[in-house]
Amino acid sequence: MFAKQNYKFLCGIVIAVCLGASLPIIADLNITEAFLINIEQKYNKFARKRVESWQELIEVSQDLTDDEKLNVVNNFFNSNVMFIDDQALWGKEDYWATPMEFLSIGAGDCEDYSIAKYFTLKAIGVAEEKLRLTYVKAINIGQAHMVLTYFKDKRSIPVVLDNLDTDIKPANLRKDLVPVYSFNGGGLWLAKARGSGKRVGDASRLSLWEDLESRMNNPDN
Amino acid sequence: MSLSKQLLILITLIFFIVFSVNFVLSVGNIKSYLEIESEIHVQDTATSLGLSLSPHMSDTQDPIIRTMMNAIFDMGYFKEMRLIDVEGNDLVTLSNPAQMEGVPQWLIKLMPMKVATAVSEISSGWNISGTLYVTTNPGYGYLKLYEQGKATLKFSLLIFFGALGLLILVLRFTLQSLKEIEKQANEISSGNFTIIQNLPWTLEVKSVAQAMNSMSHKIGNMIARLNNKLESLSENLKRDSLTNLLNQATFNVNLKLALSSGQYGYAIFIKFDDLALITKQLGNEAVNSLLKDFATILLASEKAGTSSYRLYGSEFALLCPAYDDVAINELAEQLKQQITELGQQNNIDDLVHMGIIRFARSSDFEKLLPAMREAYEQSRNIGSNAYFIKEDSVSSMSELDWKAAINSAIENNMPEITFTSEAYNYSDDTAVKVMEEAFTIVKDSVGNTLSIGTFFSMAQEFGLEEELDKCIVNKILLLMEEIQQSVPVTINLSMTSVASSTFSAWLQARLEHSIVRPELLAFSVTAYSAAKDLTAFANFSIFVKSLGAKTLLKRYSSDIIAIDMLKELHIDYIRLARDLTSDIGSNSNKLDLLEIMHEVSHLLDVRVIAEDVADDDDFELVKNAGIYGIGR
Repeated sequence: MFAKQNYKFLCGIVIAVCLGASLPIIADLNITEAFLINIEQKYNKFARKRVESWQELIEVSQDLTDDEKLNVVNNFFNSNVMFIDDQALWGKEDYWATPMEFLSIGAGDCEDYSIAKYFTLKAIGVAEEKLRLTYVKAINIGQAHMVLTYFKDKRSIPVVLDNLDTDIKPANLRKDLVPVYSFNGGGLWLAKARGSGKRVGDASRLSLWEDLESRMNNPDN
Repeated sequence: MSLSKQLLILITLIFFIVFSVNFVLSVGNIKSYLEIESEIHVQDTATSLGLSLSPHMSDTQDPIIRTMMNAIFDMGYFKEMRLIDVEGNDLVTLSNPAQMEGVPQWLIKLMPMKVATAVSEISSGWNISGTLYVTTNPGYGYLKLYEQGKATLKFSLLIFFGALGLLILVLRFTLQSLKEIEKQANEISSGNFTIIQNLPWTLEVKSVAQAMNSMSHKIGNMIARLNNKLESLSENLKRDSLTNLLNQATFNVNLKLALSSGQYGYAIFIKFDDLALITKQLGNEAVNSLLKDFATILLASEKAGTSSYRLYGSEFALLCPAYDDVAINELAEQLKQQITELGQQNNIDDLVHMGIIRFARSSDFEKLLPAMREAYEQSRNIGSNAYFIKEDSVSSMSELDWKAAINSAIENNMPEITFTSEAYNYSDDTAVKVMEEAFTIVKDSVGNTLSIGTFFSMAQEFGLEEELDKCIVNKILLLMEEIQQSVPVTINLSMTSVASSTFSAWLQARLEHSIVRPELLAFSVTAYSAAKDLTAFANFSIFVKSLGAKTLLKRYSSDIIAIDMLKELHIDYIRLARDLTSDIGSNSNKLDLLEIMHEVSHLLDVRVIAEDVADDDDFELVKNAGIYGIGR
């Protein structure tokens, strides 16, 4: 269990890397008809529908308050995507799904939920410094778990966006979760990149999102 | 500048550029790698330390925070560690001055390294409690960069010089064949038609070498063919066409050679007493047949070491070197008997008479022929086909007299030098003098001019020829200096001097102290003398060339020394036997010989000189044959 928790922790770092590097890109994301056809051919029409709904959500949520944005995004993913662990879904111990893969296949684990929510909130204008990916221990299920936390300011108690408890609640009310550590995404990209054998030299050249995008645009890969 | 040097410089320059660029890139890569490693290291530290500090951040004054930071900081890899709370207030600050020991300042100025600072946010429970900043110490990076740079430079230089060495070897190997071709071209140009045995493996160079070989082979063959023709012509010129006996010119040459080389023996003069009457009686055809039969008798005697000649019409001769009185008597008796038998076959009782004269080194050539005729006349008083042997060796002086005269000449520096036998080149409108010969005159105590041929021959007999040569060469040089000679001069030497290392050393020392230009000196021996020791003569030629002087072969005839051997002997001039350039009109072979001689000598870069061409018709023919220098 401890090994698995460590593993999950590392995955968190991976996600943080993705978050740090990819937001400007998702903001400019232009999902074309050809792309949607591709999604439909590779998965099914429901996948296409989820992606279209996600695109629409991003478009219509730009002017909402932060609280409203948190609710809309949390509800969207918690209600549209099923929780299935990576071993069952991808046949791997851990798999970092792209948000597009996550939406297309309609399932994922806690990291996939957290990262998809993170991307989407950033895409609709929530400030990056208010968001943290937080590793927690889920007491009820006895597993390492990840949630997305939102800080109104640095001194405030954050609210928790979780896929186990679908309601957004202040962290101090989540007695079922024990916080372990939260990461600001930008500080950890280097460590993950080294671990994954990526070239590390210039941060501006490293874009893991490009890898995601590549997989999205080339579904055969 | 040679091709090999050009290639070496060019490739060395390319190597240098490649290695320099490689070195600069390597050092750049090392620097970049070290910077990235530093960034990774400092970020790892910030992250892991942040994670470790996280449980203790609920009390920011807890001393364990500083203790934990000190534990990591004191490892020395970091320039600064700074922990601030969420409001931005400093909680802990640890710093070290950057130390750059062991690294030269120029490196720090030339290649400044980025100082990496990593940031890690620290949480406490659900809240953000602070931020940790970790800055790396660049000293380690510089030290590592300096050491790696030195190692890279060392190995780059090692590889550079190794590659350079290999390059020189390859160039030497590849260009060796070009040098061989160059050497062959020079050899061909100077008349040695060599072949490159080991063909180069580079295709283009191999083709050139093959073409050069083919050319060398063809020219060599052509010269060999011309040489064969020359030999054949020379042989024809030396023989009487009817009897195939050697002719009078050859007799004179051979007798002189015998005298000059110290031989002794007998010469037999044989004359048909009245060939005109016999012709009248028998007719031309029968007389020709008789003469051929007579020649056969003479030729038969050559088995016993004689040489037989038809001097003129009814006059014949035999040279019998190394014959003593017993042997000559036996030969004379045998001839008498055979001639008598020949006469009987033709119903002529008294066919010929024979005058026999002994000769030795001291014999005067000029007096030998009259003495032979005198002996012949005496034999006519004896009987049919009789012979008379004159034992007097026809010497004007005794050996003791000769020795005294030679010693006196050397000791008193008596030989007088005159420049004669002027040879001119007529290829342009105006004749240009191209050669003179230093002629030596020696007089006895009462002022009579001595026979110079005998004088030299006797000097040889007494082993004084080297001293005599030194004396004469010295006087020639003095005369040349005095009259400021500007035309090449033929200087005759004995073969003893030519073969002598002491003479060579003396000559070198003498020439070093002379103002005479060495190229004006053409040291000469007769072709006959040189032929007796070609190796010595070739060595002397090489030595003379090293002094800047020239060599000349006198009385040259291709049957004595083959013309294609001239280059091996390093000859500059050949002077033709006088007979070859006289009475040319009467013998077309002579003209052919001159023309071929000119062609071959031109190919071999040897200059041909004809001497004493008195007759105007002969002169025109010699001139038209293209002979380089003609004396009249």
